[in-house]
Amino acid sequence: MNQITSKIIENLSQLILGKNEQLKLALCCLLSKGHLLIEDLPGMGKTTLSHGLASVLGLSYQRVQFTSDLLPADITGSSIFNTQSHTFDFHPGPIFSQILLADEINRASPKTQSALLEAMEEGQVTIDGHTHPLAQPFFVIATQNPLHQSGTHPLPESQLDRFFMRISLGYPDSEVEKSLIQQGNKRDLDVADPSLAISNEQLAVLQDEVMKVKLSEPVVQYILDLVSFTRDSGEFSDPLSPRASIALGLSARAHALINGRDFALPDDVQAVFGCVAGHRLNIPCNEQNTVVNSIFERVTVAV
Amino acid sequence: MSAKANVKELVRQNTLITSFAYCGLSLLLVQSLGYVFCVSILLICIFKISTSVDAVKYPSKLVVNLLAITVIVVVFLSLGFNQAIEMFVAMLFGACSLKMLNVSTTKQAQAVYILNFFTYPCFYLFSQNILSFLLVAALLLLNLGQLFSVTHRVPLKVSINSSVRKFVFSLPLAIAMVVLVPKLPPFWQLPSAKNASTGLSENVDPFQISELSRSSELAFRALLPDANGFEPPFYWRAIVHDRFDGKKWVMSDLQNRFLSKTYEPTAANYTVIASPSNTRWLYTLDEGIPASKGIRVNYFGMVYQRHLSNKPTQYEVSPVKLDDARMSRWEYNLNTALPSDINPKAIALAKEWDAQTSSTQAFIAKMESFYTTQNFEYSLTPPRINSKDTIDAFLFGSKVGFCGHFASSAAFLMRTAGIPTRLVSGYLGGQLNEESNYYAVYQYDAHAWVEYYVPQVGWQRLDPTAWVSPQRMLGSLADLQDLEDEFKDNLGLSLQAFSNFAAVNWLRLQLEQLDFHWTRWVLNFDDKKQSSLLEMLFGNKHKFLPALSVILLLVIVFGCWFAYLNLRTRFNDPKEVRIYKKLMMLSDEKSDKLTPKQLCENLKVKWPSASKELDEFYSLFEIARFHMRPLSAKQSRRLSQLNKQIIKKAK
Repeated sequence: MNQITSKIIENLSQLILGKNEQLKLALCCLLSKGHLLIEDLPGMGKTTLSHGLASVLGLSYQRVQFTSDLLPADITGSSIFNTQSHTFDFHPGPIFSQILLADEINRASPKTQSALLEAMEEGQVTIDGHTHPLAQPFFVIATQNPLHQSGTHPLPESQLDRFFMRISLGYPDSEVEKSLIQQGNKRDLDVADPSLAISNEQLAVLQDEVMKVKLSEPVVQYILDLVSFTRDSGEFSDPLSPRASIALGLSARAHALINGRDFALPDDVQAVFGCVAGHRLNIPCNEQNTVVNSIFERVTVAV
Repeated sequence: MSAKANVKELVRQNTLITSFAYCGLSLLLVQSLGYVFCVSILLICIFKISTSVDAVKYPSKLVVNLLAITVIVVVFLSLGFNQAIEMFVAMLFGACSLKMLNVSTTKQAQAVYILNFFTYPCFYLFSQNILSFLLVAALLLLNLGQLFSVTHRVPLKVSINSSVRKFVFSLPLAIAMVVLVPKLPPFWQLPSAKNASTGLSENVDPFQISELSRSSELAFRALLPDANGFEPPFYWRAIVHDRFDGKKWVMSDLQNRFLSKTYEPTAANYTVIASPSNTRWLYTLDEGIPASKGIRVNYFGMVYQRHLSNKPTQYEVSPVKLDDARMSRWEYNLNTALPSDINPKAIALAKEWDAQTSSTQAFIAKMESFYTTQNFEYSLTPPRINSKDTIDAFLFGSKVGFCGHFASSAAFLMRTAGIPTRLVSGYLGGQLNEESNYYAVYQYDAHAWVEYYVPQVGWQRLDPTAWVSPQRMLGSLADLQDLEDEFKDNLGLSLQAFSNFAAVNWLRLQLEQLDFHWTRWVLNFDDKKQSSLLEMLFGNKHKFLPALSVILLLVIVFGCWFAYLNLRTRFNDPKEVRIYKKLMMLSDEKSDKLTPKQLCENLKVKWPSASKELDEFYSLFEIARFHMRPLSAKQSRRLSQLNKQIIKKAK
């Protein structure tokens, strides 16, 4: 395993117990410069994970709890009249940080959701005619409750597509849960320790290395075959877009890097396929594994 | 959207081309299917072409249905059931062109192109020479290309290329199957189409013809062995007319009598390949009897086939001298019979000569001097004679005519004098093709002459035309200098008319020769020829060997093809992939759906003894395939070793 990434995973795994694969996928997403959507029931550790990610990557971090009465200006910030200087001063909102945790994004009204997702896409916000660039790197980690929960506004497909990955933590093993009970709440523990965090430069290096991972011909072919399967089989009303193909390639590379290789394998593609494709294909979280496995069983692996 | 527009454009282009092909076909089939039908097809095609170039609005369903009803009515009125074949072809052709009219989707276009595979070869029902073959073959190739083009949405140029390649590839197979697969008789047959409108007539009435329409169509070809000593002029006998009804020379019932005696041939057999014609009478050089099965000979030594054929007929003839030195009383009566009350002047003239002469020869000499001194003229465009006394009007009036006039009048004069005489029609001459050594005889070589009876000797030939136009005897009419201009005017604009130009003449002769070989070797390759060829190739076992050899050939060809495909992918694959594919066969699950890592894990579970080798193999495979680092020679050798070891352990 790559030294830095293994250190990050190690740190995170102290926070989120027994979910190493999900931690790797979340890291994959951030190393590929993509935004992450975490979908889970309340109390599964969504917020803890995003908080932990921000800490170990050494990035500034803001959290916005989305509610139905949240307004766009509450995220982007607004200009407020300064009575002393008789000018309008811009007061940046929580979006001006490196990691924005948009908690329970599907509880907010569509208008607010769109404001956030636009900022994610453009990398800047425009308020009162002034354009304000967002911080670099900028990640959005959004969490959402499963859609059947009451008081939720589902994100439209076009906005879901902007999330690079959707992961779901799921229930822990009983062993893990046992130790959780014994330890009590550990959210503010350890991870706040700045000595464990990596520097911004190290993060940039890691992101560069992702691009250097070799994507061989058969792997690319396998990605193509998977994508065209979703288009040709007729089983999916929203087949994968080219953006999804690009995301598959990138995340397979990142997954290879995290596993300490400088070349990607078809196994990397299989590992990230569910997270990258699930929300784009409109597969509910709890059915994702079944559907994805049925795809793997029908698509020939190119060699 | 653009792909869809593209398909529409392709369909439009292709149907446009097919419309032009239909136009051409309908023009070529005018003779067989009639003007009315062909003009309606032409109109439909022009309608289609105008819709394609957006000059006219696309027809509604109602219009198409009305057109269909019109075409059906036209077919029934102009052809009807007594021309069954023509009617069926016209129906098919009409249906295709109407379908073509409202084609807009790929499916519809495919339907038309598949139908065309039946429509185009229907042309063979009407003509089978080499040019028709080339035309239909070209149309079929085009059609295949168009079918590919609309089905696979590729430009026509590309698809025609591929259809030509497929055609060339399948040609050897087709030839092998034609030559070797035993021919079976057809299960059922339609009455054959009337594909020939030219030929000799059973009734000769020269005086009603104002212009002898001379067709340059081939009548037959003859292969005369050199040793036979046949010398020109070649008189090809076809029909004997032994009854004169005052206007026409017709055939008496004697024609139905068989030739009862057997004859020894006087020279070697020769071969004739007769083009389809409107009579069943065939041709012999002077007198002859057929040496081929299915060809018969009657009392007059006239050779005929039982049914009209729409294919060229090839037969052999043994030259004989018919034994007809004796004549019965009733035969004598029949051959001197004349209707009363006509041609009084001619009768008077003949009676006068008869009184002056004592022998048949002397009578003929009198007649010859009459024809040669009285300014008789040979012409292909004689004036029409409408009087009752046609022969009088000719002999003492117009004095212009062609062979029919001279033969008819001479026969009349001789019969009046009591000499048994009959009219014979057939062909005179023939053009020698020196390269292939055959004589080609055309419809314009048609000729009529006279045969008269000499007691104790038999029937003798007499050609009164020769007295007037001696050159006519020297060869084909085409060679006749005097008549050349007139003749060419008559012919219209066929290649023959340009024979003054060396290149055109050369081309004509080459085409001629090609068609000769085509007819001889391809069209006439029937079950008899096939079985003699097979007997030559395989000896007596030829009953089952050919079929067996064809099946074997097919197996070998397809086997080679599959082996080639298989080997090609194998050699295209790098070594590690070839070995990996072998390992895939060891796993009994859906091994191609597993990633290499998963497959190796599976195999390890199945054969734990080979896990070390499998791990090593996988790491090498990973390096070569996914890390894209070429294997060193040592690693490569190790890969082969591992392959053997794993397979050994797996067994």
